[in-house]
Amino acid sequence: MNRSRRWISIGLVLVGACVGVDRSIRADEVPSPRWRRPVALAVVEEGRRLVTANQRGGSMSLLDPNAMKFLREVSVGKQLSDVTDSPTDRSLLLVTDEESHELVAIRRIGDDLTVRKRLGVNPYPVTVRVSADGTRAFVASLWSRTITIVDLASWLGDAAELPKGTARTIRLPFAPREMLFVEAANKLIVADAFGSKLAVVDPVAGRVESVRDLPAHGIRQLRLHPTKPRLVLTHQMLSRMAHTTFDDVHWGGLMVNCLRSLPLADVLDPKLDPLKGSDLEYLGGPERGAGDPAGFVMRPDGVIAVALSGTNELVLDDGNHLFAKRLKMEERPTAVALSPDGLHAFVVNTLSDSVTVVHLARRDIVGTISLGPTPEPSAADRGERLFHSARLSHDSWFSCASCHVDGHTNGLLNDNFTDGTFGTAKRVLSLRGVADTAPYAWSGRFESLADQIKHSIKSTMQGEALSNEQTSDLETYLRTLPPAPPVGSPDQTAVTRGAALFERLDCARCHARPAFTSPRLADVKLKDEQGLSKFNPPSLRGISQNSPYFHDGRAATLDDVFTKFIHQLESELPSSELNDLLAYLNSL
Amino acid sequence: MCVSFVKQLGVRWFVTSLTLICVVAVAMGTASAEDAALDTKSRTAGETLPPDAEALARNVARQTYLVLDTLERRHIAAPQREELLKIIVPGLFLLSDTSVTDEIAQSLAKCETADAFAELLLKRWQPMRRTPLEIERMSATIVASLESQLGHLRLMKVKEYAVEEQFRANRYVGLGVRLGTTQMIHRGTNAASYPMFSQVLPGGAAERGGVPNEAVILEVDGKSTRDVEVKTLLDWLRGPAGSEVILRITAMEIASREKLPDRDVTLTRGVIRFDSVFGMDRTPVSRGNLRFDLSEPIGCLVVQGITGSTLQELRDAEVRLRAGGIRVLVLDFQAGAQSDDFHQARLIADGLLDGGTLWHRHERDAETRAETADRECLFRGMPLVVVVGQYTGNAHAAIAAALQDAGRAVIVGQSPPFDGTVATGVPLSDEQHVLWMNTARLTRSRADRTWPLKPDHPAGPPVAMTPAEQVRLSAKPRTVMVQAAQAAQQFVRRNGTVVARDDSASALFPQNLTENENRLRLQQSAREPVFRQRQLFPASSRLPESLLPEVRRVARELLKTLPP
Repeated sequence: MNRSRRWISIGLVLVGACVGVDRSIRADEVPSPRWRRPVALAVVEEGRRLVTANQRGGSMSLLDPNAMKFLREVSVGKQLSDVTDSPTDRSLLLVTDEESHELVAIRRIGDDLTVRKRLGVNPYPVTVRVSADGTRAFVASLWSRTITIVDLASWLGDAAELPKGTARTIRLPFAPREMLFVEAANKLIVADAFGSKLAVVDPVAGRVESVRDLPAHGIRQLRLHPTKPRLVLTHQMLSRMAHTTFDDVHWGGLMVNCLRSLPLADVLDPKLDPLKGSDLEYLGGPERGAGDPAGFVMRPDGVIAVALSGTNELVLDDGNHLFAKRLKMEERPTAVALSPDGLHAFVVNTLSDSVTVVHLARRDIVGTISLGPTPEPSAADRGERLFHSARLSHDSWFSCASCHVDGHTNGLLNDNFTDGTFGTAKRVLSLRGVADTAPYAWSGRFESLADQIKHSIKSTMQGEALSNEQTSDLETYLRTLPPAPPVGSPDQTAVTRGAALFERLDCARCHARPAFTSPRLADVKLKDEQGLSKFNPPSLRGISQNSPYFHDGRAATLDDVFTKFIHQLESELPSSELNDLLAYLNSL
Repeated sequence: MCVSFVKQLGVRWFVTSLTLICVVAVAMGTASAEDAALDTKSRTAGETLPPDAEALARNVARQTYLVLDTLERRHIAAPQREELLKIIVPGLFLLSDTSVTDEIAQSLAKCETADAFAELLLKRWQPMRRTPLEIERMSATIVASLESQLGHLRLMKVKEYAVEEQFRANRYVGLGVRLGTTQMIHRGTNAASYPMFSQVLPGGAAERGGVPNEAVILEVDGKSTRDVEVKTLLDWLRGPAGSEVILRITAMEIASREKLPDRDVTLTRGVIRFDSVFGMDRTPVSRGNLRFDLSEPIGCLVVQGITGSTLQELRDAEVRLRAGGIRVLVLDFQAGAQSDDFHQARLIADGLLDGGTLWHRHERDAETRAETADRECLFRGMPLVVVVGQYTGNAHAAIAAALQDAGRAVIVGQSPPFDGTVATGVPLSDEQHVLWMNTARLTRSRADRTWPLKPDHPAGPPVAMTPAEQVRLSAKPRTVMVQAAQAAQQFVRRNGTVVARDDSASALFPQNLTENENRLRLQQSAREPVFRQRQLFPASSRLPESLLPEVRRVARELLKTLPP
């Protein structure tokens, strides 16, 4: 049973508690080489200890940044995605497990880390934040597009059974990742994991107050400005007007990498337009791209450090807005944390299993702490590095992951030359489940995935041609990406009726099982700017995660596909049939 | 003539003027022996065509049909092929000492294939010499005839177009010199023409290699430059970035030449960048003066060109303007640069607008579409004043109009001539040539506004003509092209409104002009991309004193609207 099926059968919110069995590896032991993939970091014990959440290892690593030492690694779950400490209970750590769909409470006593409790949350939890009073945890769940609000006192109390209301769910209109709880306003700001949305959630009322569309995608960090009432975020901007030519890439017309600040009050007030007071800083420029900015820290004196996960660098600014100083990190620096005294930044190098300590005043590297021995990278490992490397593009402006965030899609339009024309921007396709969907590109121009990869690097990214081995590595990695799971679990009887309708309407003519696509070009009767209307049908697997729809995103929802554009129908479907068909599609 | 052009206009102008020579020379080179051997006996009695005439006719026909195919496919207003052929036929016969009747023109226009067209041409042509000049004229007449009805039209080799693209993208690869020629007696030889670097540009390969201004080039990679055609010389000097060229140079002044021996320098070709955005008095943004005076927070940027780098330069300038406390910004678009890069104009207008529609774009056989800006906006919170004038380039004018329609900027100055027609380069199917032509028309986002753009505050006298413009307007016209255009016009006039005239062509070639007026119009629509000169050697574009008070008054009014 695949993952998506499993969580659907469990239900949207499964609340339970159990105590896990943890395995621990101490510093004096010699573990066998393996990958850990740290993705998040908590600074504890006044900066004397660092704790990482390891995605592939399902473990947490405890480090001593003063001694630059690895202390121990504790097995916690299957695929950890975030870690945070409690502002009121310094020995408590909260961790999300994306694969087990759990929030895990860790008790830290000295250098011991012990799993205390596990709580099933909405599927695919990726981020956890705790309110300043330590009473609530907020868990963002990616594919299920939800926030789980957990009453920590109820959960962590001694009651044998969880009190009702321990966890509540808020649904979002997008897949969330980054979150920021604004204590003073008692509001939660939630960012789109892939695209351009920014939502404000009222956790008390349990509702989404506002959803804004920013000129942004790939939002990788939200922070409050240390001295001003402003929200600061890192992201990228992709121009749908620019062409994927050398010139537009070179001069930053196509993609730029940014640090944006917005007036907090305007963000929180649904009636105001926060972009009116937006400030934007460009983190790189021609000949010095700053691909894929990720985590960052800000000091009250204006010092800023931003991890450039695509170029393997940390870029520093001392308040002059030039972002001139860069320090070399290891592979794919993602999360960044500040020491309590503000002297150091700690940078998680996700793809090299290490944490780099940076002295912010001296603007140099203190050292790098390895989380443990690693094996020789497999082809998929090498491909993963390539996928996230902005160095594959001209001047390191962006990586494959810039548009295909986490292998998915940023949902935006990109005017590339894959269809042989410019001026015909097309929706960026998800690469999840791409393995069996040949041919590739909207035009179906590429029979093999390898050919599509080569073309994308050379033409769309204006990079150097890949070697056959690199192409093969990238292809191997892409083939490991599963389709995006469906957003929710529609009513099964409606799904069954919808499946029958799918057959009756002969949808499989273009969207044939098992990948729900076909090698042909289908005339969708919707012309692009050059008059082309025949496209290769995209796979319908995970289609509930792929809005907007059609080649140019003209249908905002699946409903629009059939009601506004009567897609491949002779006439509009009766509403009952439409609902059944949508239920079926949303289950794929 | 060519040499004098180079002296006056610099290398870029001349390259363009050579384009047509290249086009036909290539075509001639590919003519098959079979073509040339075709029996000519069936032609009109009494004609004695030279053996090469057949090949020439076939290649002219082939070239013509390639152009027509492209026009039919992409030109915004081109009529069907038959009508297009009627336009060019009179011009083709200008050179053959044969008068063309309307009947002949009509029969030629009905030819469905290039071969059939060539056959008919041969029947009607009188014997002619196939000199390079004749060949140039032949192709020139085709383009000029079409241009007289369709507006801007220019046929380029792909290589030449690539160089233009380099300029548009601000990544020109070269030595960083302005090329001229000089007559010189070198070490006892007879007087001859030699190329010289009339200007060595800062930061270019020549400057880095220690080549002085006015250095005379005696050899390029061991080949003598004595009396060598400039086209050949350009081929020798050009090459990809990173490649080397060895020059033997000497001084132009006799005194210097006699003291110093000739010397060899090795230069590495590289990308030469030219700023398109400047501060006041054309000072570089990075270190220049960006405000009128210290007493008020009103900044000024001179946007001299619209190139690939302009958007990035504006981003860089914003950092400095904000650091300097600037609250109202004047963008000077008066520059005489003939900006024509509408792709970049679109990106820049998008960059300056906080959402909204830039304009509506109309193309041949495509749905009219609104081009919209995203919400990211340069100089956010900073009211803009845009200064325009009669020399404001087309791309500049389109941006100014988008800003005006969105209420983003107040426009001051005089109406620029832009009429909404957009020209772009379209590759011919032979993959060897590019046709520069009108492919789209923009209409304003505000339905109640039309072209030309009308300033909100009309002000100021015309900006004085720059030396480059004076040179351009005094250049000798290509008479044959004028004649071809006139012949086409006369034909169209005689045969009624067979051609759907393009608006921009109407502006360039009004029907009722005298020959002399037509000549001037032709000059004004000449193919030389003058803005290249501006990029290389920008003229001073300081706001004229007569305009400055109004610009500052408007800026101050905007300043008053801002919170303290």
